[in-house]
Amino acid sequence: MNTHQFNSPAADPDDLLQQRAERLEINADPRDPDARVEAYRQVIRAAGAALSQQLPADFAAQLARQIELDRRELRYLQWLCIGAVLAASGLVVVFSAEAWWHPFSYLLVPVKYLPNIPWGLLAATLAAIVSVPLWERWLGPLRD
Amino acid sequence: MLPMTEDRQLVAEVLAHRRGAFERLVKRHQGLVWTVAYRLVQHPEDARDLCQETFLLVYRKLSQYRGDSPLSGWIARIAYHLAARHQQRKRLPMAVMPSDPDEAMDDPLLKVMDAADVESTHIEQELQVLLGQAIERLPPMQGLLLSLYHLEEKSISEISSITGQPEGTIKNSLFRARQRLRGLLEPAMGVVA
Repeated sequence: MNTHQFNSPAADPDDLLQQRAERLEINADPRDPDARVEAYRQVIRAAGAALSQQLPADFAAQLARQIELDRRELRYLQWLCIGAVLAASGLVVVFSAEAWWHPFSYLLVPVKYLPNIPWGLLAATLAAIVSVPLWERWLGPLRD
Repeated sequence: MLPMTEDRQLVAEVLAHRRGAFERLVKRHQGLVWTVAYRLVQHPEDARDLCQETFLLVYRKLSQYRGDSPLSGWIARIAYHLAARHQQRKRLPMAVMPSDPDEAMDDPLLKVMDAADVESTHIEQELQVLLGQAIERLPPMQGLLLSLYHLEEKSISEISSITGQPEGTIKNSLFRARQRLRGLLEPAMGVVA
């Protein structure tokens, strides 16, 4: 029962009857001798009754499931895009290795010990991309 | 815990993608959203779609909720705007009164009440059912205001914030709606107007 009171159009004598009916309903008072007040109480009771139609009982669960699926799909697409960019970058790096790898490798270790570095780099990049969904599963959902 | 604090807490959980948080949010507010949608569009399937649309929008916009007003009002406003837009698309009236005030909700109630003994519980229950049907046949906006006030127990200022209507207009509509419904009860209850 709504306990917010307000002053409705005061010029109408019915206003007082409505206010009285509302007060009686709020306090669950016994019948009023005035039949007009009782009629208003019936109206107030009917207006406060649940609607004849309702949402399905599992509405909230269904909606939450749908949103979770949509979110996963979106996340998967995001990772796919990131993966594609990474793969493209990896390929560029690998296929241009001839130009940069030899001078760079001399700074680290003798090149003779690392003969297959370009292909190893490519394999590592691809492995990282393929394992992206696994990271997410292990680490839990990532923030948007 | 205070309702506003609870709201903020729940919103934070949903934004953090905490398991089950969004489902709890929907469960908490689906009754109010259903009342708004169903009262305005008066069609169960359309109202259900609108509820779904409302909560999907709530999910997308939730980060914009600042927590300075009750979450229920914020969600109900979204539901109201979506339902109003739906009505506009279908070019259906929301607040138009029928040309004959009794035309929209005449016979069934009066027929039953002609011989009604209002003391009887059975008749009272029947009156409640028929009054409920009469409310469903009110102009959508009047039905919505009655339900928001009496069923959802919203204050006039909250209803004003949801519907964007001035408080005076809402009070007047509520008053007129109750007066019209009482008019239907008079023959059975022997009321002298």
